[in-house]
Amino acid sequence: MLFPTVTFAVFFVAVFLAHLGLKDRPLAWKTMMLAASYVFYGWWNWRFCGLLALSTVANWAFGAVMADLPQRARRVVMVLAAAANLAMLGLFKYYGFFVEALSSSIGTGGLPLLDFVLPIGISFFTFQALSYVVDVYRRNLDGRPLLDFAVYLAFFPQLVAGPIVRATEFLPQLDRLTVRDSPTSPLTRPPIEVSEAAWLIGRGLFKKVVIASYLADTIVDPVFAAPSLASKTDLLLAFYGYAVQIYADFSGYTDMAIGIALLLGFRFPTNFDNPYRALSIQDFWRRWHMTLSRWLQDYLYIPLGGNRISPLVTYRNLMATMILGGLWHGAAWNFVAWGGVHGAALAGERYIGQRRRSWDWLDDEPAAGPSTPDGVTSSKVDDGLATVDATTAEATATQTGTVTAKNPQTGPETEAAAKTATGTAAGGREALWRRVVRTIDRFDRSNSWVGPVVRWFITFHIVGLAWVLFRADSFGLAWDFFTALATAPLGGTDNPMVALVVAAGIAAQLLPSRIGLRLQLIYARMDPTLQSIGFGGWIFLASRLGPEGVAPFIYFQF
Amino acid sequence: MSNSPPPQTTTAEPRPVASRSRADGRATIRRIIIAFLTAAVLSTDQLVATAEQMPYGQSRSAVLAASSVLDRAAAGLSLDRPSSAIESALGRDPEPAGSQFATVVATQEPGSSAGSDPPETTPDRRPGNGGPTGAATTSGSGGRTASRSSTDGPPVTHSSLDGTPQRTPAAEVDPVAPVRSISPEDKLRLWAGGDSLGEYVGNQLLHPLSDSELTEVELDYRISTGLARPDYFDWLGQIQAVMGEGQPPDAVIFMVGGNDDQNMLAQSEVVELGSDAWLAEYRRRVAAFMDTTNTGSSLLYWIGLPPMRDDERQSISSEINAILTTEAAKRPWVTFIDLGPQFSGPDGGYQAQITDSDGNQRVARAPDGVHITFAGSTWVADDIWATIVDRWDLTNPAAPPLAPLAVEISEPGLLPG
Repeated sequence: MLFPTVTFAVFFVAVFLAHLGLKDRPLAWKTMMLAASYVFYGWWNWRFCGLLALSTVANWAFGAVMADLPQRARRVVMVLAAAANLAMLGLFKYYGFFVEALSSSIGTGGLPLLDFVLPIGISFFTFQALSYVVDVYRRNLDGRPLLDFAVYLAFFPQLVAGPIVRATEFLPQLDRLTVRDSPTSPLTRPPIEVSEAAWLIGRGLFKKVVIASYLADTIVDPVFAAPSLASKTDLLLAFYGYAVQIYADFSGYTDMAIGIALLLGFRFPTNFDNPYRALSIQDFWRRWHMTLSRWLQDYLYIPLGGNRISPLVTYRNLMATMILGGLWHGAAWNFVAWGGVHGAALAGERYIGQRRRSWDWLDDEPAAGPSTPDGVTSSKVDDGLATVDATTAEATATQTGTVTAKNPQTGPETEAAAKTATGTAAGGREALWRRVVRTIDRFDRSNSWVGPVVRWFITFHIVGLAWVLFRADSFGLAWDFFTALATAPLGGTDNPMVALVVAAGIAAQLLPSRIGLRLQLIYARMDPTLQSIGFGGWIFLASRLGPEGVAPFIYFQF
Repeated sequence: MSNSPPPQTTTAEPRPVASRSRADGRATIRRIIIAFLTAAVLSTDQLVATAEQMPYGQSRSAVLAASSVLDRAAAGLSLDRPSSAIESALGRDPEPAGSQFATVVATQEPGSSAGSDPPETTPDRRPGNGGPTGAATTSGSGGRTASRSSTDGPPVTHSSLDGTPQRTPAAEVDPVAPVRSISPEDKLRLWAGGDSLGEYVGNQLLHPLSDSELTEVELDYRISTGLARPDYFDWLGQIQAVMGEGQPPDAVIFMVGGNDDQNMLAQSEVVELGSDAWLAEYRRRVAAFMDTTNTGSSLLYWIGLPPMRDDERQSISSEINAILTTEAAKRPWVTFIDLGPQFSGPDGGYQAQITDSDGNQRVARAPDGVHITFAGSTWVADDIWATIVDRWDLTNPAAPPLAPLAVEISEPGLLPG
């Protein structure tokens, strides 16, 4: 069942009426919501429901078993749970990829390819289930009744494509809706944020139905199908167009999911924050699929050691985290390469940041401009996947389940880097690096627009190049795309409107956020009836402007 | 309860708050209803289109009648003007295209049923939820298996893809169409069309074609289409337009049928999926399409349906393949490409994986049990391309060498049957 369809509209109205009608009956409400979520999920294929149910029961049991066990035994259970979840994911999602890879290299050793149906959203709900078990293990969360956990895992707004909502975020909100202060007191629900929900749903609808579908149909799909047939202009339009398309597609879905959840009384975490505004790859991952980067950081990067051990281990951790993050998106080498590009870029940024800091320390001339060596710029580069120092984050997360940013001013890595720099400063390569980094520094400290623009340009194009790997059906096609981009005649395009849409899609992210908030505020202050008519008109407009049909959401396959 | 509150650092940022931005449940319902009604009255034509895409039957008739009433009322109140204005601004044709099956078929296929569809009232491409839905009802006449050889006509020009001894080499295809000389100045014209199943193959076909300076290709794929619902997309009208152009394509590559497991409308009557009337009507439409490609110089390569995982779907796919086989056998310019041998398991049924010539295992079928994967599509496209190369002698010295395909796949002839 896709969000932007009449079928879903009818389904949601029915669920919403039940949601209102059962507000004083928590048990009935949870049962209804669970059933509705399974109907939503089973609409694709009823067989999927069995796996979801199995995952629910198993992970709930892992959490329940842990409750009274000593720490060592808790750890064993947690490891078992992680293994079970990854085994399930591996079987359904990666088994074929694994056997194909083996088959092409060393032989399968008799392993047959099996015909599994890949359940939609398996990666999302598996990650959510894992976060529950790990949070119970870390004592961030008490084990919960099966029904509560089942509602959390299956809650239909976020079931198939996120955002990845953690149990520590969802379950307290479930309690607020369903737990009475006392056995006799009535349940009170806060007013529904209906204007914000409508705004989000309308925005998501437009992104998906109009922008993403238009770009896919008009330029991206045809060009990626046969890059060597396209002109350079069309290849460039497809290159930038896919960047806009995948953002519009995924963030559009997320907007709708957050809006729908809001109507049902749940506030989900933000998942996108103008990612193409990023000035570094690290900054990009703070803005793109934020709930996944949070998950990868807290449940993979930091447990691997984060940036606590040594620079080399940190680079390894970054690469491993991003490659596994790439593999999470799909069982294909393309996704591995996509993750590898991001991991290498993150490691590269970190390396440059460390070198800058060490040279700054050795410099005779004092640092000029607003930034200190450990100021805003360098601290951004210094941290790992996001802005969190590993040690601090893990300690904080263990205590409260929250993540708090803290940037160390100095540390062992800085000293190590300084020693390294001292030993090799005379080398020619070092001198070249120093020149490059000083040029970047000069831009950064000049207070001019040049530095940020250069950073933005580089970041955006690294992300864009990686998107080609993400989009192409094979390495061969990605190579074809790059080759054609380099060699195709400039040519023209039959779709000048595409250029306008792509430019508008990128420019919209560079505009100050306050413009969007101002528009939202204007909408929220309108007469409620006018708001409703406006929302209906917006649905009409989106359905008219979009191409026929509703293409599947890109992230459904993950 | 010791649960922590949601992390403030990661939840959505504070939104502008206004007194009108919140509502209780009842007011929210009111707002939702107003919004949906607004969208509905402005989009009554889309409601009609959605109803028309439903499987033929009583539900469709009822929904269609109700939405038509609304549509007429909206038109009476000029509420259709915004949609008309937008359609005009976007350059879309608001006029219904109708079905060409109604007017052409009877004159082209003497042996086909003489009936015709009633005039359709909707455009050929309308917004919807992915096309007309397959019918839930199935007939009891399933179970017949596809015939891979003809007994009631000339030998089938069978383009099997496996290159096994059963395969009729492409060069031996009945040369009813004269082979013209192909050169960079006078390229081989190819037109490839069909549904999403065909699109997978067509996209892979583009790669070798795009690397050849001797061919020009046009792809025309429409998802969720087929021959069963010309009211949604009319393939006969489309192929008439294609063949009626100045220079018709030298080769037409076509693949539909995956969406045709539903009732059809014939002579204003709903015919049940799989019934004798359904089979006769489907045969008539296939024949009409094939005959339209008979220009005296064009060849039609019709790709059959691969085995389906779902039994009901497989049953009707077998029927469709049988029709394609026999109708192709009657027409020397038509080559039926049977995917069955390559995509079947040892028992002749559905099999998701293939083993290529190097002994590597490949997943050939998509998780839905219907579509073909990238590897499988490349495999099919590679063999079609080899057939075309043979047929038009594109490997002559003047032709550039063929670029390798994006993915290494097996060579035809070394695949298991």
